[in-house]
This record gives sequence, structure tokens and C-alpha cells, in this order.
Amino acid sequence: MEYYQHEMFHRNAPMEHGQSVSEIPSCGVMVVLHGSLERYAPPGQGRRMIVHLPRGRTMADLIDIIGIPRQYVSFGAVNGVRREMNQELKDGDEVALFTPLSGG
Amino acid sequence: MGYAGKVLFIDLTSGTHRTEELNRTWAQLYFGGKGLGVKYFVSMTAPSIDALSPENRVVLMTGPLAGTIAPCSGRLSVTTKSPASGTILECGVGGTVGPEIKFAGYDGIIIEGRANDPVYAVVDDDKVSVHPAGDLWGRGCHDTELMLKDRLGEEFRVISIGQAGENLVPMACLTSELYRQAGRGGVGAVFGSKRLKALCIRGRKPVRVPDMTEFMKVVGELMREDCLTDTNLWARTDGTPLLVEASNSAGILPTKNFQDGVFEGFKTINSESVRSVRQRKNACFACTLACGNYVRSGGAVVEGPEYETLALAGSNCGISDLDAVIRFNAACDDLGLDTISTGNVVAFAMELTERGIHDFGMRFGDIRPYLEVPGLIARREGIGSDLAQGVRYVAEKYGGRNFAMEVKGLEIPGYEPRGAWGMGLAYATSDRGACHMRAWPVADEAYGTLDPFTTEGKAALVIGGQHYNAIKFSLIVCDFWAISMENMARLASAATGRHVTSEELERAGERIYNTTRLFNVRAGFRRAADTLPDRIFKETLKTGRAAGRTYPKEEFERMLSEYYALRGWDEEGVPTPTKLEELEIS
Repeated sequence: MEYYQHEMFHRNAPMEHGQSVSEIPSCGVMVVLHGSLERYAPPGQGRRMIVHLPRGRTMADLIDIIGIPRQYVSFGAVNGVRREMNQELKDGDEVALFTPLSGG
Repeated sequence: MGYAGKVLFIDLTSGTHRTEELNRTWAQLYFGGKGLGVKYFVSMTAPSIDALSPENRVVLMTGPLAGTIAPCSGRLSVTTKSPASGTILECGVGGTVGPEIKFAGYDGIIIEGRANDPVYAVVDDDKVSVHPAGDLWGRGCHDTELMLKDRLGEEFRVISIGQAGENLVPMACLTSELYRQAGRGGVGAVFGSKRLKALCIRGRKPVRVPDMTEFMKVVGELMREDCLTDTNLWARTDGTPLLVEASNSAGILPTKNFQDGVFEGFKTINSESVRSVRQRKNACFACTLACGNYVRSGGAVVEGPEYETLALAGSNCGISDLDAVIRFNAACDDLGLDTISTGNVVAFAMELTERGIHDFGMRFGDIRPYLEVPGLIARREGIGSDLAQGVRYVAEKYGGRNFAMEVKGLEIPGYEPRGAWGMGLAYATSDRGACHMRAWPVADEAYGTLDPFTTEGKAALVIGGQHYNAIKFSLIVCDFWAISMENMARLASAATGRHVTSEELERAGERIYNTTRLFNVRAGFRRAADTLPDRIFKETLKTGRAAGRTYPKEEFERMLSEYYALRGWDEEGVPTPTKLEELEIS
């Protein structure tokens, strides 16, 4: 399966003066946008995409980079286990983001 | 306004019916749905009765919003005494049957007595009749509904029981529109005890609101600003199967009879898998969220499976084959069985077999016997004659009491309390046994930002949730719209024409919760029944977020005492006279 290479990082991430995108140490994470968060993916993308981040970024950073208002993310899981928003992401991580859920 | 102004009583013993003016005082205090249904029920019914006796009643009650274009208002509340738990039992069913009752000119229908032979009742606006159902008795819900529609006309809405209800199985449900259930606590068995196979309704009257322009304005604003937002639209994109992965990530997905909170096979029963076999979405009357997933797979068609089915009949039975879960779901729907309790009792039998306590011929993950059990339960054949009685009965007969996953005789739904301690209190203090629909603190604990592994603040959280849901299911607004109390007050005001405040709704929620508690107290329930299975307090989960943690019973008991104190109940959980007087409950 081919996944979209998310470009938002390249537009939004801070860069050192004179540094090019290719020189920033980065990691790629698979992001799964559950529920209606799917609409924050690029059009036609579905709910899975790969996002490249600078190393050391957290789940909270990832949410900001994708551009999801924080109140619409109730929690995230890394590699199938719920983690806190300050969880640092590593290359190859799969990050699942969930909207608030109600009922049962 | 908002109300039809009449309640229909059908007496099956005599085959007669009558109507009464809606009790407007009660409607002001209890609003509709759960609250008003409970008020009518407790005012007429002694708490000590046998749930399967002719003295029990079934109260079907709509709310002031039913039949209007208010989103998510299409559900119907059903109140009776539960043959599973012996408590009061209020449950809800979606689809269109609720609004249809209002269109027929009634706020509610109350079923009394017992027919000599199987019957079905027809409410066609003002014409009410009772007919022999000999040709329907013994048939599943699907056949029954389709045959009645053939006979009466496609416009009729049908609510029926299958073979499980006929055979008085205490986990028998009501089914409407083929795939929607008033599921829990055995309301289907109460229908069966009355020999009532089905109730068919057609209505052609309008539903009026006091000021149409104002009503449309409020509904339009709330639809745009509160309903169709990212907070609620998971229901449309996924529906409840989304909770499989959410719960698994949070370590609270019931697995192998609650031995674990993480299921290794979750990916084949998660929302993505359900979406892969989805044919279309489906919605209740006036619903803009459309949570229903109409799927076809494994030779079966079903609207579902919902999260509770995927959890209790999937991971909790060690079943990761989605086709098998769908077939199990379809069988339960047709036989008229609650998938939560049926899944639980299968899982319990699997563990009893694996531990060598009693051989039910099935172990976790065994698909063939798993698919045979619903039919055996509904017909009370073979192992089904024991399993039909529920987890508590099976534990008392064969053993395994410490891992019999039920509260007050009602089996536990799909949220593991060791990974959400407040949810344990919600189960213990629910008015109908282990139930996830009275308060749902997992939203804050497992899926939100509250610490799930503490009892601090949880008593107040559970009480708030119980009041919120009590009034929400009274207006009636569906669980899946996370509407604020303030916006519910705006809807209630627009529908009834009187100024309703959020404080008034909060107080009505408290009144409703105390009314159900008082019935249960009078039926003999006290603190000792407000507890959880030993497994929750004595065993730890193996994997996931809650792995290795115990849920200390002493902390639970301290939280329970705090809960009683905050409620104005005594140490045994009995509402004090002062509290009852304050809430105008007699």
C-alpha cells in the first residue's frame, strides 16, 4: 500500500538559518486519523498517512503540525498503546488519534 | 405542547384498552422517556412482584422531542421490572417506533396483564386491537416483523420478540425494524410472559410545538454548532466499532471473560474491518449522525455489529473472526437475545471449560460451538438450558463465582473497570445492574485526561453522569450527541413552550435517579448489592495500560460511601426522607 508523504512539516517546521529540509534529522511516523479526524488528512487520502517530523517531536507536536484543533483529539495511541501527549515519537511509530467519544 | 397529551393502556388479560390524559404534573417533573416512564411504572407497580407475573407492566414512553425534527430524538424508552436483575429496568430502542407512537396520538403505551394465548397488538391511530398470534409464535423477530408488515401494511412499525422472549429467557430483548433492540435485562421475556409477540403501530397525526419558527431556529443552530461537529461525527464515519481500537489502546477491551484488557486479535474486529464489509449507513428517525452500519458478511446481514457485540461476543470470547461475530450477532437479533449478556455467558462457559470446572464443550476462540449457543439458549436446549439463566445462575450451579462477571445478575458491558475505576462505581450503582448507559466515566478516564487509576473525584463524576443521562434519555436525546445541559434546556424549552433551565434539568435527572433507586430499595436492594465481581478486586490484568494494577476493594468501598453521602443516601444506600422530600418524590 502506498501512503501519502505528508508535506505539512516542510511548510511549518522551524529550520536553522541556512539549513535545507533534507539536512534536518527526521523520523517518519504512520498516522491513523480515526473517526471524523480523517477530514484533516489531505483530500482523498483516507485515514492513513506518513508524516515526517524532526526527531524529538511529541504527539502534541504532531497534532499541531497536521492542524487538528486540540479539543477534537481525546487521546492518542503509539503502537497500539495509549500514551500521553508529551510522548516522544520515534522513526517507524504508528500513531492513532481519536476524537472525543460519547455513549457506549 | 411537544406532548400528544394521552397515554394508552392495553390490558392483555381482558383484551381491552383505555386512554388517559397525560399527567401534566409528572410531565413537568420528569419530562418524558425514562423519567416519565419510570414515574408511571413505579406509581402502578409493587416492587416485590415477580417480573414474569401478570402484575408486571411494560411502559413504552416517548419524550417531548419525539416526532419533531430535533436531531437524535427518535428513540423510545421502555420500563419494566427486570427478570434478570429484579431491579427496575429501563432501556431504549432506536429506529422509528418511538415517533410512530407520538404520530398515533400517544405519549406512551402501557402494557398490562397477560393474554391466555399468544397475541399481537395493533395501534392504528385511535383504533386499538388485539389479535391471535398463533402463526407467529415460534418464529424469529425477522419473520415476525416481515409477516406483520405484509398483513398490516409497510407503514406499520413493529416491535417484537423472538423465540428467546417466548421461552422467558432473562436475556431476551425486544427487536424493532429488524436490527434495533431494547436489549438489556430481559424485557423480551416480560413480553413473552404476557404472551405478547409483537406490538404494531401506525400513526398519522401531527406533532405540534408551541412556536414553529423558534423551534426551527433553535434546532438549526444546535444542529450546526453542536451536533454536526468533530465531537460527534465519529458516529457517522465509524459508529461504535471505533471503540474497539480505542478500548484496546486504553487497555479496557474485555478479553477472554475479563482476564485481560488487550486482545491480540483486535485488528480483525476493529472499525476498519467493519467498514470493509459495510454496505451503507443507517439512521434512526430525525437523526443526522447515522451511527448504524449495515453490513453483509459471512452469509449474514445485520445492522451492526456494535461495539458491545464486538467486545463481549468478540474479544471476550477470544473470537477474532469478524464473519463469526456478524453471524452470532445476526442469530441473536433474530432469536431476540441481548448480545452483551449472551456473549458474557458464552465467555463464562468457555472459561469454566478451560479451567476444568464444567465442560460446556467450548474454549476461547472455538467458533463452531459459539455459533450454536444462541439457538440453544433461545430454545433452552442442551447446554442452552443452563446458559439461558445467565452468568450468575451458571456460577451458582457449577462454580466460578469469583469470575462471574455480573452485577445484580446483569452481565458486564464492554469497559474493563480495572482500567477505569470510576466505571466500576458506575456499574455498581447503575439502577439495572452492570450497565454502561447510566454513567460513562470511561470518556474521561480511559479516553480522556483524568487519571483512571484513582477513586478521587469519581463519585461526583459518576453522579453527574447519571443525572445527565437520566434527563437526556427523558427528553429523549440519543447518547451519541454529546450535547451540553444548557443546549438540552434550549431544546426542552422550544419543544414544551415553557422556560426550562439547565439547573431544572439537572434536578430532574437527580429526581429520576432517586426514583429508580427507591424502587430498587423497596425491592430489597442495599449496599451489599452495589459491588463488583471478585475478579476485579483480586486479579490483575496481564497487558496494556492497566497491567499489573489492582483495584483495591477498600478504595472502592470508600468511594461508594462518598457516593452515598454526596447523594444524600444513608450508609446502606437508602435515600433519606429529607432527600426524597427535597426532590418531591413520594
